[in-house]
Amino acid sequence: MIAYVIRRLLIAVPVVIGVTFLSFMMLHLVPGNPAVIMAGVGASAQDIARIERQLGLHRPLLYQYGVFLSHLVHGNLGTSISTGRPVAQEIAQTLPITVTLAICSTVLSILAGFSIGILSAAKQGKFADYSATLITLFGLSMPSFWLGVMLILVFSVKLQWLPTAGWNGALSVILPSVTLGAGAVAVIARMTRSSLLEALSADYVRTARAKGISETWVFLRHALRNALIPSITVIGLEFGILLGGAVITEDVFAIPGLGRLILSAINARDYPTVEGAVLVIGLMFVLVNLVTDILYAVIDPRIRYS
Amino acid sequence: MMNPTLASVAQAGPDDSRVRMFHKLRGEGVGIFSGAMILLTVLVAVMAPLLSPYSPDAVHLASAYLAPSPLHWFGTDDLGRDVFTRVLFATRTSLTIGVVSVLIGGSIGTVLGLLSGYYIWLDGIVMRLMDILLAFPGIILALVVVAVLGASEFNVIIATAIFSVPGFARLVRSSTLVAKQAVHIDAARTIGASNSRIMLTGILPNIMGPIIVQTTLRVGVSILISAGLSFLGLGVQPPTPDWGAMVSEGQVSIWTAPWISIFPGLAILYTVVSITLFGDWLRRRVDRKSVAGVKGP
Repeated sequence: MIAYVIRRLLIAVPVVIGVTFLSFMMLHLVPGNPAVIMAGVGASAQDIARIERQLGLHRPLLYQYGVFLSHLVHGNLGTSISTGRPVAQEIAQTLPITVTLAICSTVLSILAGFSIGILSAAKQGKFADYSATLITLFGLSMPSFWLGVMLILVFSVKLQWLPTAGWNGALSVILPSVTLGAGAVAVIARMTRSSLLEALSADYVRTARAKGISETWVFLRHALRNALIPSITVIGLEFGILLGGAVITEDVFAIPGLGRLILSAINARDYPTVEGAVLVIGLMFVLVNLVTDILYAVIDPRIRYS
Repeated sequence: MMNPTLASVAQAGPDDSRVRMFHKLRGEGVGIFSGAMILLTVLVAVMAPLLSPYSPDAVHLASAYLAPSPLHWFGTDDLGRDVFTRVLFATRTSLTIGVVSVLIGGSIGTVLGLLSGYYIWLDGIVMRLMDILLAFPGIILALVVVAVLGASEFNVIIATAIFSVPGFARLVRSSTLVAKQAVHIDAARTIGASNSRIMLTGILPNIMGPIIVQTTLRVGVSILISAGLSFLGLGVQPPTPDWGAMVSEGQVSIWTAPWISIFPGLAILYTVVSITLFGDWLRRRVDRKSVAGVKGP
């Protein structure tokens, strides 16, 4: 087990370095002088020189990357060009909102995804199965921003049950969570259905049936238990994707999270903020996948030896 | 993923030839049906100017916010432009971005996957690079590219293409690892065929099935991503009609004129549903074939 964890950690190291390098390079890949672009139209030569100095753009590239890394280790992500505040502080303020949203969506998509997947595997080839297939097809094909706008139209404009936008109180979390989680519901449901069907045709299930155990018990005790394992990987992966997808959901519902921070920073050409936020999302994504893989190996020992 | 058709056939009782026939017809039906849906989308894109009497960009402030009527099937927007016409014309934008970006990203990913599956020494480097690209959730990667290069139709294509590369590279790599074990590859090597010849004529044709499936499904995903970018104001720029941008414009007047948002979204849904259905159907066919191939002589 420990060997597996160490091996998995070692694989993550180059990825983490790559993520930091890619985030760092962003600013340098901008066509033209980034300082001129950031200073905006009508900026004086002094303004441009100040930004250049602030970012250390006059230094050699590798030196800049070294400085970037050493700052990163100390939790320093630079200073926002548009607000003048530390980027780390801006992120610390917005990240909890995005994580809360992603967790709500994940919980929702696990509940709905498992229910739909199990129902459709249990009623394979029946009406319920076809309805479930249709639901997952729409979940996968629907643009989340449109779903969000339609939910606002139905539940906020027509029925006036829920707020149209903002982030205050439990009621304002419902629509964004559904919007963000719809795709994940479909992915988890499909995964659960297919792994359940695979488990139901496995030898140990046939043995269990041959022993005369009731069909319900076979389903719950033997098939379901084994079928849920692959879904854990999917859930971990989906959580990371939801962190990214939050950009769109937060824009639809005007939620002051990390996604909105990135968007407004992009529009303001505030590259240090974009850089820092993207870096944090990338690192979290790597971390979530790492934890998922290790968790998977803990639950299913077969993984470790393959 | 397990094949539901095969599973249900396997469980079917004595009457199974008729059951099999029914399932086969239904299976092919999905392909024909979704293929026809896609064909309709393509026709709409090509014939957009012939299908509507209005211009997509003609501003008529006097007829702004008109509800759907026989005159304006999908109503009009804040500038009095006909929503139906704009939805039709936006089909061109979406299909172009979806198809072109996947062709670019798919080609790059296929070459990378083929090389890293074939040459062991390249494998580690290429796959770690792909891991780094995959370390950013899709929409974030696309956002970063657009943030760096600026928002335009061309840059959206680049952003979506980059986003498609790792998936293709991984898929082609793992298929190549399997395909290069085949006897005919050994034979080709024995008679002195060059590496590039083996890759292009020995391996690539044998792994085209999964590549085509991936290409199809990716077009759908790319349309969703590019629509998302446009919704955020970082994609295709106005006044070019674009589904994502139209939904965003309509959100402002959701209280009074919801049709501005409803119809472009339905157009995305229709297009992506047809592509996903078709892709899934293709995948089932390819899977069945490869299973048959393993069993065959």
